[in-house]
Amino acid sequence: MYQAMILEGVPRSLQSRGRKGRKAYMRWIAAAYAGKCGGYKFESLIPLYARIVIFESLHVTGGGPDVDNIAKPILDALKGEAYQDDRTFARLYIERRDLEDVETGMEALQMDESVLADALALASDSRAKSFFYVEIGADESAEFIFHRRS
Amino acid sequence: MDSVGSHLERAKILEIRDRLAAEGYRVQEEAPATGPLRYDLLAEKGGRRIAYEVKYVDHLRDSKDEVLRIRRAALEQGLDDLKLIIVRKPRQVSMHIDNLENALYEHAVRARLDWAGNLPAGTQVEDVHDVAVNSITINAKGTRVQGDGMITVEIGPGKEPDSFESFPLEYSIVLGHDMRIASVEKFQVDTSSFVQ
Repeated sequence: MYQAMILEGVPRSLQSRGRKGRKAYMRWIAAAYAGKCGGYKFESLIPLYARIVIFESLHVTGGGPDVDNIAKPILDALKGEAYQDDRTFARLYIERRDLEDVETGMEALQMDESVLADALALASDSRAKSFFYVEIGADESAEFIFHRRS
Repeated sequence: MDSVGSHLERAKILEIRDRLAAEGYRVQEEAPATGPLRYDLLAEKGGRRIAYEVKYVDHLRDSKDEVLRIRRAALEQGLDDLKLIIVRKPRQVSMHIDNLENALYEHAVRARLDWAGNLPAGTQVEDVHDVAVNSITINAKGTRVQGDGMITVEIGPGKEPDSFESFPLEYSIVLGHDMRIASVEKFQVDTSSFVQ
């Protein structure tokens, strides 16, 4: 069981200045989850994983925030929305892929069709300089990259 | 479909095909997917089947539905994965530093003994040319420039007149705000090809 969504924009860093902006960012993440994933809430006792993939035009964003500072604001935003306790997270996987690279790969079969459609729309939109994929699921398998279909 | 995009797609398909074949996959091009649609590549190894779909980014806009249909076909056929590869033109970054070749030339003349290696005494620097900039780092202290190029010298006395030789050069320098060399971190000339 997993939930996934694509969000447009540059993910915000834990180190970003401005509490007000951070709160707005977290509200935006929570609202997106409610809209795209139907507000699904994982059981409190099962171990979870999170996967975050940032697709961005590095020459435009300048590399964006460090990947190690990206996860916490996203997971904090989803606390109470998708899960109850941070300690249920057993694994976290974050990567950055350069949209300006001559080759960008997507594991299309592992992404839900609606999520892939969102990703394709943004990948083909020259105005979209950054988007990111967020996936949370039950950590029941070693194969969790873009999650296995059932 | 523009020809550059089609060419880039084709080149990437061939690159992936050859890489997979080298890894021991049995690779089929234009493998049937659904209806008239075909996977660009279908790779099989050890019972695992992976399809590849390569799209030039500007073609992707008109191919989204096609990609989704191919994805559905891959699911129905029980493939293990469908890898969508989006290709782009390589970005060309223009870098030019005023007076760089001249600055390197002046350093080469001043510091000849430091890099001349096995060249005979009396060898004269003729030119520094074909200088490429591989990286630039700018900070408050100046601009660090790293790259490579060629240095041409006139071999010293004892050789035939007009005896010129060229050698590869690697450099790393820091330019001050006046764009003159403030320090030289590396100025390495490979003279190993020189035979007296």
